[in-house]
Amino acid sequence: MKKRIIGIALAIFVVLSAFGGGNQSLAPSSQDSSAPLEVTWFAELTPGIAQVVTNLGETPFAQELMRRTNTQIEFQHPAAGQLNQAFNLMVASGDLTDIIEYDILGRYPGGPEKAIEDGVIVDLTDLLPVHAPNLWKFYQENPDIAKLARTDSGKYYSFPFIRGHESLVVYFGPIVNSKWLADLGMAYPETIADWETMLTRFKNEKGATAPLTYEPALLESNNSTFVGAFGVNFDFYLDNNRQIQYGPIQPGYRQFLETFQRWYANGLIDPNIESMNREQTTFKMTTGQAGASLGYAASRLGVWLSAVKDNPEIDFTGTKYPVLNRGDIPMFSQMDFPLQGSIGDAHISTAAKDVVGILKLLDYGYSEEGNMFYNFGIEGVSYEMIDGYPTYTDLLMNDPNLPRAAMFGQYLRSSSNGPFVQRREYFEQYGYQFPQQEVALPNWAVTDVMNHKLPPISPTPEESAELATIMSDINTYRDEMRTKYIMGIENLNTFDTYVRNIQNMGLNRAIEIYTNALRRFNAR
Amino acid sequence: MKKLPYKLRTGFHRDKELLLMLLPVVVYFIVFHYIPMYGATIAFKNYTPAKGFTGSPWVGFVHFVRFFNSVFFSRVVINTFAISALSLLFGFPAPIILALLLNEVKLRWFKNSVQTITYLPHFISLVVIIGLLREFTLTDGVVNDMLSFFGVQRRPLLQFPEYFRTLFVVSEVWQTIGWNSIIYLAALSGVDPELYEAAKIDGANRWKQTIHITLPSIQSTIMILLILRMGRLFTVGFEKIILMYSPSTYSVADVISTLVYRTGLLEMNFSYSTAVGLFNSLINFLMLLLANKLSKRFSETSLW
Repeated sequence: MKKRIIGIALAIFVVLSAFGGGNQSLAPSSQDSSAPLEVTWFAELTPGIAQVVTNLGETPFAQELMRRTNTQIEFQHPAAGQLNQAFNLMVASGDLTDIIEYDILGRYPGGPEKAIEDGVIVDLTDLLPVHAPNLWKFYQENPDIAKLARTDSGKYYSFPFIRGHESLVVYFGPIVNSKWLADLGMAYPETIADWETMLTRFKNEKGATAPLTYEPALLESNNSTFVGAFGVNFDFYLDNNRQIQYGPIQPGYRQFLETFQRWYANGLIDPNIESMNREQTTFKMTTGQAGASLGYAASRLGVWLSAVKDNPEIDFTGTKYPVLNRGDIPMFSQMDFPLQGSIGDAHISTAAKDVVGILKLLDYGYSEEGNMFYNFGIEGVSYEMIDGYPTYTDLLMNDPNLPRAAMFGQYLRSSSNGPFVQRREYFEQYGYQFPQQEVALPNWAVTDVMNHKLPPISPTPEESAELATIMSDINTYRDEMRTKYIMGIENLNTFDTYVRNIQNMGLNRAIEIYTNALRRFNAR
Repeated sequence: MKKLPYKLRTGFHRDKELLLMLLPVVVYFIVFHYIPMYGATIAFKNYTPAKGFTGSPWVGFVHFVRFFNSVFFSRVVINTFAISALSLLFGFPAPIILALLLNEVKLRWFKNSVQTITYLPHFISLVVIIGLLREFTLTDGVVNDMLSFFGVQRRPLLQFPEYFRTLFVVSEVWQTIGWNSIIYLAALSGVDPELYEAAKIDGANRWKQTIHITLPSIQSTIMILLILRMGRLFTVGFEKIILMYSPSTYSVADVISTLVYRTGLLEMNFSYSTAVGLFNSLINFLMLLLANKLSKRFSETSLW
């Protein structure tokens, strides 16, 4: 009796799990030329376009893509700001879309090798040369980029977002209220001391309640503004001897904390800094509560400039990344590799039935015609060729009601990201809406970061699991202590204990793993 | 098959309609509560979705050992207990007191409006509640406006560890007091009015009546609810904490469920987070047993 009940229970379980397991067979079938290929596609709906449509499929861009590639695409978008959770839930449920657009390289725990091993995405190494001739040709012509596109063991796994020109790799930096600087008769700040003087005068003479404001996530991200002046960043980097170091335990990091603690105590940093979000930052900058911040060339600087274009009291520009001594070259700043893992990288999931058909669909973005389409949209509608230069039409550039980001997003994908090669002509028209932006970008591009930034290296799946265990503890502790030090909740004389704690959490093992991965990368 | 004992057989025969009505409930519990429990085995495995529950390799107690050795182990356990105990200490008596007070009110319209007003926060989404709380506690928020009137320096209150638990408990009481008082009001309406009349004749004032008649009458309701609440003494839901905390308050706010959320959903370390969750459930189960036993001894009220 008892045995039978267990037997039945197990049988029920097996049946149920078989339903949940998902179909993982790989059966490429030849596509009937008349019936469109049905594809599901997971991708983030970028904020710029989310104000116009709820699904990318409704846009002229997607309609045209489906027509040109003879496909029927169903886009699935995560809720705004929920990209990571939505992706993780999708993987955990096993209910995968055919195409997954996500930063597998940077955000999948264990990286692409692990994603292949876990049965999430398909290994494309043998498929690309045969079924994706355009992307393959691009890799043959650009071996440096191809090196970034494969794993240590030589596997290809994505249709990546590639920045096709060096002017496209810089798009983020410090922003200051240049009208206030002119009023006070000050030059653009270069050193940390300049910044301190400037922020103090903003506070005292311009009545700024939050002279410097930013969202903590932006300070921490790979741009390393301010902390970079002290020769360190918030994560791993290469020192002058090409050795891997962890920034938050270096003496320079302590100097950074001392500086920011003083600034916070003196009211130079927004007192509510830990709860700032994008809207609040924009509000404070454009209403004169704040005079300096960090941000992107288009979605911050551009948006703020258009918000204050009728306000004679406020104007913005991008300044150089701060350094310690006048004349230094900033050691860290935001500068991307042409390919470094983007949420626009497209991958084929193991749930895809017609892998060959999807390869064809994605490869279109790397063809001559597809490249024009992804970057500029439809000729005659969103752009015209004028003297051989693809020029965006008024429809995109001068919509009376909608910001450019919303209009661009409906007709093309170069204003955000996606599986294609981004072209400089896009940015020359989209990014330079205001002359102030043209000043900002060369300022932000003054940097030595390429000698200090870790390339997109990939630890092995086993190393990754170990690394994740170590770094999840260390990063939690680092963030906690950084905030406490800056807000003055914790005294900086505990810094040595803090460093020891981080070392005890297994930092040396993490550095060892990264060093091995770097060696393998260099040997690619 | 062995023959069923006589009593069981007649019972089965007699109550077959009742048993039939019970069947859907039993099926529901087996399908949705017992079968999924099999998933808890991944706490002892290195689970990856591709290999599934059965295919992932067994690793024994590795994840438990990692949790017990984690630098954050004692912190999340202490925080979970502290936040939960404070919520219990202030959150449990509050609706009882509100119900007792409302019970004494004779003005019907006043009683009804107070009840409605105190229920309302229960129907507001937690996200909105915390959104309000965040805005109110900014340096230019309404709480700081009031404090600065009394000469207190403006500070972003939610960012300081010393205020976190207070804000957590106060907002919790505010949100739940009205809703939780309903069950006590229902119990109070069942008290025999003759008891009060008798007490009045004996010369008991309102306070004496409350102590000697009202409270003993609803004592069993209070005890059952307390036992159930004790079963969750080591549980703090992650939603509210996630919405409220930031790195500067991790030291007092990080609890077991937020650790599970971060490692499981954000880092996709499913096995580890399951192990932590399982440990939490085990502690809760023991707490429930303990509370039940204590209650049985002191008040003769118990769950079983």
